[in-house]
Amino acid sequence: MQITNYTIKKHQSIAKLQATLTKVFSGLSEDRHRTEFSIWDTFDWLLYKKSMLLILEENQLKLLNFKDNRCTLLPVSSGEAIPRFWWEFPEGPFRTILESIVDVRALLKMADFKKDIRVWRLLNQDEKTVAKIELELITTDGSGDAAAVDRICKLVPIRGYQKALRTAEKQLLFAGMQSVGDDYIVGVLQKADVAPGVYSSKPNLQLDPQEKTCEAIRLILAHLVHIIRWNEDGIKKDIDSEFLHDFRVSVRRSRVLLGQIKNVLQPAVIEQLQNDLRTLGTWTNRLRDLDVYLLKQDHYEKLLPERLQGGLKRLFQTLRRQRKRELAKIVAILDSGEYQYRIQNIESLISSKLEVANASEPLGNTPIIDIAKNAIYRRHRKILKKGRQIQVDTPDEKLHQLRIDCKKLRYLLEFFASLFPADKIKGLIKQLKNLQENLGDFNDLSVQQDFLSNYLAAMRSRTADAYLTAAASGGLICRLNDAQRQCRAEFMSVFRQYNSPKNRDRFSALFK
Amino acid sequence: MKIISFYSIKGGVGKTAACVNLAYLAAVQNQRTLICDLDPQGSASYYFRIRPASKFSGKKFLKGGIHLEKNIKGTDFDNLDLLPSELSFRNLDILLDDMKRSHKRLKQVLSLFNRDYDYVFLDCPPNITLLSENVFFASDIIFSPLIPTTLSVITLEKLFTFFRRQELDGSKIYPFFSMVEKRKKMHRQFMGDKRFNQFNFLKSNIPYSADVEKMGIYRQPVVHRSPQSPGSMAYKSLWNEIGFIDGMPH
Repeated sequence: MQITNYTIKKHQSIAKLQATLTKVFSGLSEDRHRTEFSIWDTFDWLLYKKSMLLILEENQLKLLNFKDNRCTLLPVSSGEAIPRFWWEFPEGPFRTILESIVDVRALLKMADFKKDIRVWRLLNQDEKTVAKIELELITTDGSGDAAAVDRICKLVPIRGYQKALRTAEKQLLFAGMQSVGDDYIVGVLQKADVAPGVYSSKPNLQLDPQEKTCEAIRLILAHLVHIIRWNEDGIKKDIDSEFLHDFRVSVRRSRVLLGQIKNVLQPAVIEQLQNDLRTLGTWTNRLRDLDVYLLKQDHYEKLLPERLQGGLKRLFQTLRRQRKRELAKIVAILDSGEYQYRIQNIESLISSKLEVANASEPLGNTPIIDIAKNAIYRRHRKILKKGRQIQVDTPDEKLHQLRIDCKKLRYLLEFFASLFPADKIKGLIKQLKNLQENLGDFNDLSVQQDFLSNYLAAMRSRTADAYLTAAASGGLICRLNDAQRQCRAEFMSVFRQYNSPKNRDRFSALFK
Repeated sequence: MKIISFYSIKGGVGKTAACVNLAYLAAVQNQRTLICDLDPQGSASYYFRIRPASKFSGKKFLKGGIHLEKNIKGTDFDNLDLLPSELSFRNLDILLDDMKRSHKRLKQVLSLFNRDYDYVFLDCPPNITLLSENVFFASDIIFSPLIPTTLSVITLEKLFTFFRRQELDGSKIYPFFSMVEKRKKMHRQFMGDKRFNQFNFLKSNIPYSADVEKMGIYRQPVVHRSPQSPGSMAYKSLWNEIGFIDGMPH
């Protein structure tokens, strides 16, 4: 019992269709009403990028896959706010889909529409409805026909009245209407100038290989600073933890770019930029740390046996209080004159003036492709060299350094991805990612143990609650330490893959 | 899926009206609902303006499966379908009698809808027959409308006696007063009768009202046509009460 959608083109007359249907059936009764619907997604359109649309209409959330037209529904109570995170939804298929796509991002309302609906009930001689036609006029502001973003006609079958359905279908086709899938809503978004998928935290710029390096670097920096700016509002409104994360990643990427590309920008400019960017990073360190711990709460609880889980609650309450204070601090900073001064300073340094100022540097005019190859290959060699030195008894510090080198290489590969064949870069990043994950986990686990130890050392309270928290922290340190050792044991085999002749050949073929 | 039947030994007690209106209320709450009109009079079908296909029969009904499924019709309301009654349903008893496990047949036939519907409402013909026995066996809940008169008390007691004899579960019978006229002294007296205390009486009663009577003219559930009328309010309160019975979906 499938509903079929048809688009109504500008020149097609609804009045004429109505007259015909009235004649063909024993009667036609019309009802008019207006509804609203809205489209929800994460700030970076994660759902849309997976061909999904989240639509709220009349107390119902609909998760539509516009590739295969499959739908998952969830009733919501009117007047109640839509849950912001996947874990706030009731368990079930709806939540499972969201979980797999949106991760820690919050759902935001991306667009609002009004729908003027005319329902035609097509009647038989008993005045029984045998099929329904719903005409929808979609607008952004509820104004009339002229402002319509789209006009849709839906043919709704009634069970047990197939003949009537076929008759109605025939009339719609006679009127020249074309059937469309549920994905017409994607067209509605585009026609309404809502641009899904615009924001991405990745520096996915299309660069010209022959571009002067100083200009290419400026373009990438400008893009990164743009992302920093883009995320300010979300941090201040505390929508989700990813705004701060993207903000900081862009800061870090900028710093890596400035540090890796030598003899292109004037040292004084670099120093000034590095200085301002470093400050942005330092300001936000603590808040990010707290975010990471809070996101880990569930995971930590699962690591502990039930009898120790209670102790964690107190720890997390403390962390939540600290985060609240820290957030207020960051919001104040983002609103402060000093922040504005620094960010504007960065913006003006990387505005078009940069090119003139730096053309004098020895490599400023070299094509970016040469510089990119060189920087990537150098970093790759460094990782090989450092990685090969790591043995079973090498101090942890060496792994931390290797992790940072890998991160730098990753950023470089991403900055300059457009200069090389996409599939090759993808393969390299995948290989590098395995190594990064191992090193990243190793580092995270070490930082987390330090954090818990420091927390224990600073504990002054001697209440029963405090003992429980201490016990839980101790238990957690044990589990984390086990996991860290496991990581370390796996490092050798993960690195062996990166160090394989095949992977090395790939690098030298592209960048040597 | 829950099977709810509307049953009374006596006819003309407001059984079909209750069935139609409560089914409508279930459907409005997004419960996928099917009404099976088992009464050859076909009043429920008439209220929804639905006629059976010419080839449909009692035989096909009891065959079940696709024969049954393709005769289900959508009403004018979302989530509410109806299986229309056919004159040959008057023979259901005879047909059942020829079958094995003849008092469990209906339950077996309806189990087909386990996935498709949250509720199946059975509008049953009056009398105690083999079909009634099938209904009793299949139902999770049996609603029995009662006009507050002496005869009603007797029929109710008869029903319970029958349940005891057939070793059926009498606790799923929920009587309620129907076609109540408050101004009639006799109605008031009967409703206060202590003999009723032994049964699972529902607190809501359905008044005798012109709106409910007019359903035959407008051919729509009264709760849809005049939702604020006394009759509609009574059905709503009855439906709410049903929500508190153990194991009901809403």
